[in-house]
Amino acid sequence: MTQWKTLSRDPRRLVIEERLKSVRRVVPVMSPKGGVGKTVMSALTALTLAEKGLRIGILDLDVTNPSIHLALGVDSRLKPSEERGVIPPEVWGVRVMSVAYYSEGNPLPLRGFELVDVVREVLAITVWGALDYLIVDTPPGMSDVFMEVLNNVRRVEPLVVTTPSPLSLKPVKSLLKILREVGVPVLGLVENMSDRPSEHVLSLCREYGVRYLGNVPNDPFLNASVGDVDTMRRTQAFRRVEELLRAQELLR
Amino acid sequence: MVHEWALAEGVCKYVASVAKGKRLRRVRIALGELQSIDENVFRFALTELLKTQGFEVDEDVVEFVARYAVLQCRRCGHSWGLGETGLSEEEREAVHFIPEVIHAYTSCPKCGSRDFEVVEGRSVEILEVLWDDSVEDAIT
Ligand SMILES: Nc1ncnc2c1ncn2[C@@H]1O[C@H](COP(=O)(O)OP(=O)(O)O)[C@@H](O)[C@H]1O
Ligand SMILES: [Mg+2]
Ligand SMILES: [Zn+2]
Repeated sequence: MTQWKTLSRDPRRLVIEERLKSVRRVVPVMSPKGGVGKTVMSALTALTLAEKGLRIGILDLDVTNPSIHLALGVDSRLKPSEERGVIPPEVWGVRVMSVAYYSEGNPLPLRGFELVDVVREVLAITVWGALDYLIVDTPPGMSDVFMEVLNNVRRVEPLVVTTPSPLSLKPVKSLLKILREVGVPVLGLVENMSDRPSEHVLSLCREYGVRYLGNVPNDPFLNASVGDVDTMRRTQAFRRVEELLRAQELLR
Repeated sequence: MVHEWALAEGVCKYVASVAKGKRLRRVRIALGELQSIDENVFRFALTELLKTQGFEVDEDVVEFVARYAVLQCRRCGHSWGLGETGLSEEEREAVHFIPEVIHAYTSCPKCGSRDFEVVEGRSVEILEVLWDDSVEDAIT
């Protein structure tokens, strides 16, 4: 069996902070439930912020199922360059880092401790440079990757995504509880695939003192636009995300 | 393969955290086959970085131990080496950045499972840091 390396002895952990030194805010997009729109929200948020002239990076930590490169239509020939580490290529003004550059579309099933290694490796070798926001797309669940993000990245401000469904909301409540327990401040919550704010989502936000950013309606044109950023920009979902970010003064 | 610098930085930080201000005798590091570390680049990088931390680094301080990759199937128990995987140059290159992506390119030669373990030879590991006459941190 692979031995857990004691924390202080894993040299990668010591450089992670260094790598994120010039990153102003780290925003992991989280929700324990799959399919609620974490990836879409990560991509739209990153694009919107970059469009406004902010320096943006996006990191896909859904390692066994990476999809940010698909959402942003990243050319499969693009690869990070090397200069005392790995420098992510820029797409639509966003520096995009993903394990997909290295797995090349092949299936990549991994055990939990292997995911831990991937997360640490990626955080340790990626040279972001100066960023206003680093958006992190995360996998569903509250497991290895989730905990690595909370333990290795200082000053995270998660953006929580939920749908109005109780099947999404219940796990989100657990998430908010855990974040509160470890003193991680939540940037805000987005209610996705919802035509109007739902009372039970609003009340959960009140209960946890979390800023409700707003609802994003179910947009029937969104799926067809995924991967084609120009078309995606014209969707209602995109415009709505833009609106929410502007209203919340996150655009600075 | 300049990402040696990124890895050397972690090792340097570790050494500085345990032996700051001391006279270094030896820093022994295992280099896993999967990361295909260029020893010369790594040695140069580590030496330069240690100097910036105020260490005097004699020729023989940094010592490498090569660790060949051993893969073992979790499904059938079969065990094999990197030579048997037939990875192409580009695949090796991808694996050297993120060793776990080896699961994207190969599977157990016996049963076809991708659920195998890299038992040995994954990455850079600090084995030992020695300074003055004191021995600290012998792990192996
Ligand atoms: N507001 C929305 N309107 C329509 N479809 C959406 C919306 N948000 C997400 N989707 C679609 O729902 C599916 C799941 O979204 P995704 O972002 O992959 O979820 P997650 O990353 O949380 O698993 C995708 O097909 C995506 O295109
Ligand atoms: Mg996703
Ligand atoms: Zn097997």
